[in-house]
Amino acid sequence: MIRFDAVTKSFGGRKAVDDVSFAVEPGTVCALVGTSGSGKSTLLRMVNRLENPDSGRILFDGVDIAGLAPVELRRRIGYVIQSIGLFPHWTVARNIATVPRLLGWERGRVEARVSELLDLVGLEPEIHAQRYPDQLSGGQQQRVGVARALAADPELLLMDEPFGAVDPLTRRSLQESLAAIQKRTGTTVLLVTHDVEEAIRLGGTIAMLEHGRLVQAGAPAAVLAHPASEQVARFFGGPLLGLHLLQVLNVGERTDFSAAPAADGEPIPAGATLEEALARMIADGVAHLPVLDAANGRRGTLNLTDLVGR
Amino acid sequence: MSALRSALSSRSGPPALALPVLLAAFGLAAALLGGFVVIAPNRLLSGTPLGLWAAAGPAGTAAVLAPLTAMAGLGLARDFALRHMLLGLAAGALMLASTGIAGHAAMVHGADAGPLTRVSLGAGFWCLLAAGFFTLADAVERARTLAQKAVPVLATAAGLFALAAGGALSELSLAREFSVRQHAYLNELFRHLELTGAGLVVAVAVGAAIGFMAYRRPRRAGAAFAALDIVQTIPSIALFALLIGPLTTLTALAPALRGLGIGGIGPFPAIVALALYGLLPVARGVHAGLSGVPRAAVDAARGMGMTGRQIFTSTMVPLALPTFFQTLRITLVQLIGLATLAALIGAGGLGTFIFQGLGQTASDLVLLGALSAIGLALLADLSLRGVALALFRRPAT
Repeated sequence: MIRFDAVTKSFGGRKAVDDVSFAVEPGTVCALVGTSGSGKSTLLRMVNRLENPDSGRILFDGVDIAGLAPVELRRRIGYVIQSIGLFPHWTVARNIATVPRLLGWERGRVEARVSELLDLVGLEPEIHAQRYPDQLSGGQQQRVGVARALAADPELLLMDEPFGAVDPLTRRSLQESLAAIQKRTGTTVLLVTHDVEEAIRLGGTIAMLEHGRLVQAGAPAAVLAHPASEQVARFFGGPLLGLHLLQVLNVGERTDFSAAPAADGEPIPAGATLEEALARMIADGVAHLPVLDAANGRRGTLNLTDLVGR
Repeated sequence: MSALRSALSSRSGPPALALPVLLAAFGLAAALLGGFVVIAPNRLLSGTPLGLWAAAGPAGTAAVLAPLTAMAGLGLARDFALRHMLLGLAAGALMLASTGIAGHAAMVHGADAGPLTRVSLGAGFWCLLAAGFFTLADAVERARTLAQKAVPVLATAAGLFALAAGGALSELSLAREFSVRQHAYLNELFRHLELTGAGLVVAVAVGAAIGFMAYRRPRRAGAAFAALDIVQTIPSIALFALLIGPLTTLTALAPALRGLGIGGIGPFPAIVALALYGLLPVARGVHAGLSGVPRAAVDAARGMGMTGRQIFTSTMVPLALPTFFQTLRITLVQLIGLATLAALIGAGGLGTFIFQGLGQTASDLVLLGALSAIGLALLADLSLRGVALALFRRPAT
């Protein structure tokens, strides 16, 4: 979907993005992580040509975006930013309708699309469509921001620290909504975040930048298991990196299904993360959990030692 | 932390109650102690003051005290839905009663003496009028709905108009100054509006361009505003006078310009001076309005594929407009006041009466010009506020 090819960009002699090459596969979520000033936002903003690279190419569906008109390109790409940037003088419905109207959709189609999107992001069209942004909570505003970005069915969604400004509970619920929406629509997502858990939870792949250079890219489990450098390991939690590893592994991968469950109590689903399993064990004061793999109709047992490896 | 909280909460505490009560007490003191009307043997000599009781008798005194009591009572009362509207109406009633009774007193006392006798308004009257006016302004500010704001203002304005049009004020010295120059008055009023309007149009056109440039090129903004600041520091009388020299020289070099109405004196230099004064507030307003547009909204607009023009018309302009409109209102009020100085350089306007009155030491003639300019400024302010309330969901204040 997106291929960065030796992309470099400097601001006033300082290289913000330095010779970055990697690809984002269609239908996946790629989390761009790194400390502040690592160049991740700049890299993102080059995709919809809010910035232009000094050298290198960015291919969108195999086409070099340098040859595309910025305005048309941006209308094909959804864009969500941390400060949301809703238009304060427009209603929620009008905000969401921005790109469809720029594209000249007819009225009925725009209206239908607006209610569909409000439903999709978990807002009620009758209640929220005619409100103004300042009448919504921060979380609701960001939901509108996501709906607006998805309005014209973009092939690609760019998100620049989209949930950075909301409280942790709201952030969690927004992340879950986004994951569900992405699964349904199959939109490719390029997400900038400095929140390690967000990257692990949402990212099908994680790409880490440091001083403008790509230091590692891969699946979260792979990155956490084999961090490419000391800096990567430190970024992903340093001594606590192992705990993040528990977030990317399933209970099913470590469960012994060969024998009948040896433990009592409510079984934990095989799809749950090892982090949840550990939390259950600590809360219940047990070292073994019964596991239910509903998809395959299997039952098994997860032992505390299985968390380390099997 | 608790100090902060108490500082914040005190904003909604007693001061809201105190103002109408204080003003009512001030009005009462003025009514009892000050001269309500002044009776003079002719329009130039100073006269002797007459108190409220002596001028208006028991009925007139009661008519003034009743709204004063209502103001104080409502000021002390606990808040309820229509309180501020009722306060505004009481204040309006005070203004109307004072004016009507003064007019009546002028008729009664003017008829006793000869035709040259002048009955003018005394300090007590002005204090009562001020008490009513400030209470009304405060009540309008605090009233919750547009209707509750508009009712007292419109009722008071309609009442004053009815009093004046019905002839109830015709024997007051002020009205007599007006009636002998009715024709000239309308001419000068119209001229005043022309000068102000032309000055404002030029100030908006040029000022908006400067404000926009300052926004687009922040590095030049400092220099541009510094230049406009200097214009603002020139005393207004001096600015009108300063233009005489260069413009006279200009027309001497190019006499053809005179045909276009350009010269050292007359309307042209007055409009130039007014426009120069309006430049700074207009430019600042445009600059502040554009700078106040949330960067995130502009960034989002760009990122979603709006063209530069679409960003400007659908994001920048609507978001900057409330601030700009507020500037426009303040500038207009300022220019209406400044335009009285235009009379000094032969451009006419309401200032004509002020300077004639000063020359003749006829204070009521000065008042005629000054009050008209104040009334005009108030009217402009109120109507533009009303328009802003109707146009914008969140008008700038």
